[in-house]
Amino acid sequence: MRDRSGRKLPLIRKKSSALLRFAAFVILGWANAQAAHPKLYFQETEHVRVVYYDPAHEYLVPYLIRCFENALKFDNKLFHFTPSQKVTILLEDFGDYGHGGAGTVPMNFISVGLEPLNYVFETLPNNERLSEIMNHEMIHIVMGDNASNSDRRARKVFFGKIDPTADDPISMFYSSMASPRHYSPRWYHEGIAAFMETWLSGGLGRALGGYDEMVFRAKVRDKSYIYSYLGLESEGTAIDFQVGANSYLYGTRFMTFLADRYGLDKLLQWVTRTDSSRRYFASQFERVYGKPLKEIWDQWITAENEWQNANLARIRQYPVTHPRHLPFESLGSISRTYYDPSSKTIYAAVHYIGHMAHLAALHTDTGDIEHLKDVGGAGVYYVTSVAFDPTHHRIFYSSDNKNWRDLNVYDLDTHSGRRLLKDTRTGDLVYNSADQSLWGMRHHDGLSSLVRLEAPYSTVKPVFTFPYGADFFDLDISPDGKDLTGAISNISGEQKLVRFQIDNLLKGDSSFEVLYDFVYNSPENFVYSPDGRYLYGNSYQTGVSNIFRYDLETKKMEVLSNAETGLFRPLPLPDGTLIALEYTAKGFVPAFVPVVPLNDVSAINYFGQDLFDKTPELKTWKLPQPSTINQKVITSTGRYSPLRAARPISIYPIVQGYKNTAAVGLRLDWMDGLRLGGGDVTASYSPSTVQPLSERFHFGFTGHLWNWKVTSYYNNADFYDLFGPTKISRKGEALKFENTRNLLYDTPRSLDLNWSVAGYAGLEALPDYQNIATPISRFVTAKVGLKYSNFDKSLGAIEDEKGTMWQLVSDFSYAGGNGFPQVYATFDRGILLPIHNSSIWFRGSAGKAFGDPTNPFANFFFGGFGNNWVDHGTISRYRDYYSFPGVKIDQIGATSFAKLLGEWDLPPVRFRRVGSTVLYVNWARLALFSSGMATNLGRRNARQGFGNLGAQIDFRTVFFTYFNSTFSTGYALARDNLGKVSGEYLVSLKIL
Amino acid sequence: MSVQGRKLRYAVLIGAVVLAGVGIWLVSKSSAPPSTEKIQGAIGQRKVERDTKVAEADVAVTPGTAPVAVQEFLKSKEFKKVAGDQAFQGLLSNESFQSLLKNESFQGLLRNESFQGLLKNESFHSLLKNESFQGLMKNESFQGLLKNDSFQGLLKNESFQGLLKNQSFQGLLKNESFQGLLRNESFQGLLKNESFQGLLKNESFQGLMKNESFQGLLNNQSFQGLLKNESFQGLLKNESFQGLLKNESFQSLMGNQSFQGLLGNQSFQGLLSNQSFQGLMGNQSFQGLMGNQSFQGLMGNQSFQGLLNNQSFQGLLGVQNGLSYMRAEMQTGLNKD
Repeated sequence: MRDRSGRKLPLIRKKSSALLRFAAFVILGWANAQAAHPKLYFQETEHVRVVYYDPAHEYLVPYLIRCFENALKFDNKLFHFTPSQKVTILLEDFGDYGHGGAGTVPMNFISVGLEPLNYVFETLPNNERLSEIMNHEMIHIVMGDNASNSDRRARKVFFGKIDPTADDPISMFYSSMASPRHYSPRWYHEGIAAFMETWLSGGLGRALGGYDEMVFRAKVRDKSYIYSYLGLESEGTAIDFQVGANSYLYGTRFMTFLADRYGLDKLLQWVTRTDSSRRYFASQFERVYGKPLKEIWDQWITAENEWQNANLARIRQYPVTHPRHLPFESLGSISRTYYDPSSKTIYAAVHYIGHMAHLAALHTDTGDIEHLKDVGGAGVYYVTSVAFDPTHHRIFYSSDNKNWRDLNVYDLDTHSGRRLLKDTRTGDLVYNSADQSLWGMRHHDGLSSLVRLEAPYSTVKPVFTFPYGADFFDLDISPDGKDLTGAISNISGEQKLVRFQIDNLLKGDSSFEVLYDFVYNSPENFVYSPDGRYLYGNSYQTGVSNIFRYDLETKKMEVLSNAETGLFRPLPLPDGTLIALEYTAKGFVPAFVPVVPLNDVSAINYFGQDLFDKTPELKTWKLPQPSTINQKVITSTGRYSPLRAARPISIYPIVQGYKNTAAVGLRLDWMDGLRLGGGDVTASYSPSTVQPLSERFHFGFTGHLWNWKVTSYYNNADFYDLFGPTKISRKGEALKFENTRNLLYDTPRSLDLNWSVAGYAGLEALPDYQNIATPISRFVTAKVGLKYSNFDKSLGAIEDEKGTMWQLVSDFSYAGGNGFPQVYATFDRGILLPIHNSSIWFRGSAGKAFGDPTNPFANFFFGGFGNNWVDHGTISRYRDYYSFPGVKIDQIGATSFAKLLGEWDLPPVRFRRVGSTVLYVNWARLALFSSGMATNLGRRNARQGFGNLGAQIDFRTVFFTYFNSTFSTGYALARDNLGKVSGEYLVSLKIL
Repeated sequence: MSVQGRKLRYAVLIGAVVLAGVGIWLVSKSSAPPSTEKIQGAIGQRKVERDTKVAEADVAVTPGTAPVAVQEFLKSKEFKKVAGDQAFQGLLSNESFQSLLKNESFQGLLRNESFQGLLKNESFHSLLKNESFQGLMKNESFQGLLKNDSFQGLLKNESFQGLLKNQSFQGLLKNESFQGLLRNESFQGLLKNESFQGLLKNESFQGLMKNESFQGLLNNQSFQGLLKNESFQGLLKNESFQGLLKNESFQSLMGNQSFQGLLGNQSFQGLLSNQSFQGLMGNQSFQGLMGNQSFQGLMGNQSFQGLLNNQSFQGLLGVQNGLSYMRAEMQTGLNKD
């Protein structure tokens, strides 16, 4: 056998058998590796399969199934909904607070985080959570999966719902044919789900939430901008401190308005997919309401202003509390606060636009905000849990709040912090000065435990575990260290302010004294006054979150404020004054609040209640208890295997590019309900006679199971080769095995080990370098890489803004009896500038290849922006080590190189009203960059130097309210050490 | 009974009922939690629909139960292999073990996959037959420890199994702090050392081991290294030194954080590894000196310790299991709430 240049290739057959042996080895390794993964179990009914990985979670499964069936029964009745396929639910414990997620394309899937929800500021209801989550997520399933005749026809033609993939972007079109309502904006999906969850649970939900009511009251009082439905998506969910939560807030409010103004029937006609309904959500809206969405959205804004002005008037019937703001701008989200009288400083964790979440010292006399330390993994609204030790002048705080929380300490004297314990799963921290112990609440396996850590805080000791459904939060300890107070919530969502005696707790006696029964209101943030006589807290008893004070001597509760928006987290000072956080349209602002008991405070009305009073039907929506579902509904149980559960999900026609010709063919996708196993097969044919017959057939295969992946192709074709200069298609065949392993997964830090081995035959060009002909058409490569990344971004960011990433990669090619090792490393470091959402980056890379310098296998190749005209890779391709804008693709070859790129990312400009729901522009961002590179460092005669300067501007667009795409344009000028100058334009549209 | 007598009885009865009613009302008024209406003044109440009453019986979940996972384990090849094993069958017929099997926490432990692996080990079977050990197995904290992979490895060590039969050591094992220490892999390595096991059987030393600060010291890898040092172990076997260890003042010195800091100091450990110094430590007079509070004061003096203490130690990075992959994969295509 000979290659294209006619050279004999004696080792090919031997190598092929070696490759086969290696493949067998990898497959065996793969099979063996499956045993190392968590065992999965399932329980299923006719409609649902619940999968879980920990036997400790199994006790919840039968109840979860009942909640599902209970919700489905209602959805079937109201929306005439029958799932098109069995719903897969993953019951997981990945985070310390409960959460849910749902998707319907291509499979009906729900993720349920089993821990108690976070009730901070009453942003979420606190009734039984699995039922609550299931009611909400099932509405997502209904909205996305419910089908008309035409949807069903499309699903029949394609053998299922289509997973839109950037590899074959035509899939987006098919997907929208089979599941048109899936492609509706997030405010639509979350709005209807939060609206329904409220009434299904008997009134506890966001449509009747105190926080929701306050958000819009504050907007009206502060004359803040209420977004249009476009601005909400493009800007409102990005630059507001509440980020994605705005989709829920606006959506729920708009749905309530529609039901209130136009009736429930019309709302249901709009959101229910029937045979006679229109595909697109906005078109159906116009058909039902007879007016465009924009017009009725504007009506809502007008009505919202009227409603809130009426509520403000109710509040102003009695003297209003006017908080005296401390000299700080809005702090966005904020944790519990502590006051150090010696330095007149408030300590808290804050998170506001343009900044990382951080521990801050708020100097009340100067208004300075001292950034003490970033808080990794901040939560929305509460940022993190903070406890202050005034004696040792240190702050304890949790990090990684969205996952399993870690415990950290920050020393205010030495300005140094460190992690004390990883994965403590503990928050609501409070420090007991009497014995230096730290108390907190741990969530684990669905149960809440009161825990205690003694100095030096190396062990978390459970003190008392509450029964399922009960939770305890907002802890505080009396100044004498004898009592522990907090809010207890039961399974119905009723809440009480209670007091434990610490001595008794330590003796195993968990009895407590009920100080005050708040019924369905939350007794939030109650903290002791420095003299220990009072407990100050806040509650929505009047509908507005006001400050309350409980006198422990007289056992009386007094109200101290008549706030217009809401007051939270009271902080009594030693001199008898009181600081609280006032909610404003921009976030929370610390302010002095008068400490004077009030006799008259008006209640306000809730918009949701107004609807409820007018609409008796809502009362009938309340679901019966899940216990009414027969337990025998469970039909099967056992071990879950992703491989066995994988099924074909769709087949659809595709168009691909091969070299300079077009090909048509089919794509088959398959996967299991958890996406742990799956893959795709593509087969296409180029009708053009330009290519020889042997190159007209194209085949591609990808399969993955857990973290193993296998890919293969024959005459690889690619959709994006239909456009532009970048070519992925290759003549020949390939087989590749890959594995990625997390050596460290401690978000945002991760360290991944990736290795792969691949065999190629019949190639004309190198797999990674389209313009470099391979002298040997059959070869094998092996690659191993280690990659560390620790990135973070501030509120309002469009991408990571600071942090570090490095990777070390070793590549080995074996071709023509010779081995060609290569090694390269990259290092990226980003620094966030004081300008909001602007950062600078330095990206260094260096590498060396070994072997005959004239052989392409022993070279690196650089050049070009790298983006194709139509593309699906990363947008800022100039950041990659092999990119060099200003010269042609693969123009610079080198056996060794060192490169440094400097980049300034300017703040993005966001657009509120550019486009329509079908297509709108989200943001635009300019980046300036310059890089220098030296090549062939060890070969004096061949040594070269290059420099370039360039700019790229990106416009993020969204079409069909769902699909992100980015239009990029740019220009770069390059110069080599001989003075040769060249330029390159970039025009690229990235799909998905 | 006369009519008058009956009337009197009725009057007394009615009076008693009224008094009891008033009494109950007064008691309930003074001890019941105040209702929301008891807030001072004309404070409005928000009017919102709340029809969410749920009885616990409606939810009826029992944490700790996992019949499906247990059933799957019983069906597994691993279990079938063990079930056919004679030693295991013998264990199953053991009465004490049968009572242990009824213990809910122990049932939870049985569902743990690593523990299932341990059950295959024959030496562990003989240990399970030991009644004292069975008592220990009922201890929840100890069950938590048993789920630790490394500790299970240690349990397979025969010498350590011998140690486990020692009642005093079993008492020590019930101590939660000590259990925390046992999860430390390096310390587990140390526990496999027979000399150290001998020392562990010493009750005074066990008392010292229950001291959390001393456990902190034992967590120190360098100090563990020292404990593995045969000469130092020889010192530990030295009866006089053991006597010193039993000396309360010395134990309090050992429990002194600063002194422990010194013991964690490599230089000082180097000194302790030095045979001559060990000889000195074995010397009764020197031990007397060590038992002397003034000398201990010197040893506990931070400046004195600062002279030697110049090293800090950091933990190594953990390794993530397959759940991280699963977790990342789950995020695809979801509306996250």
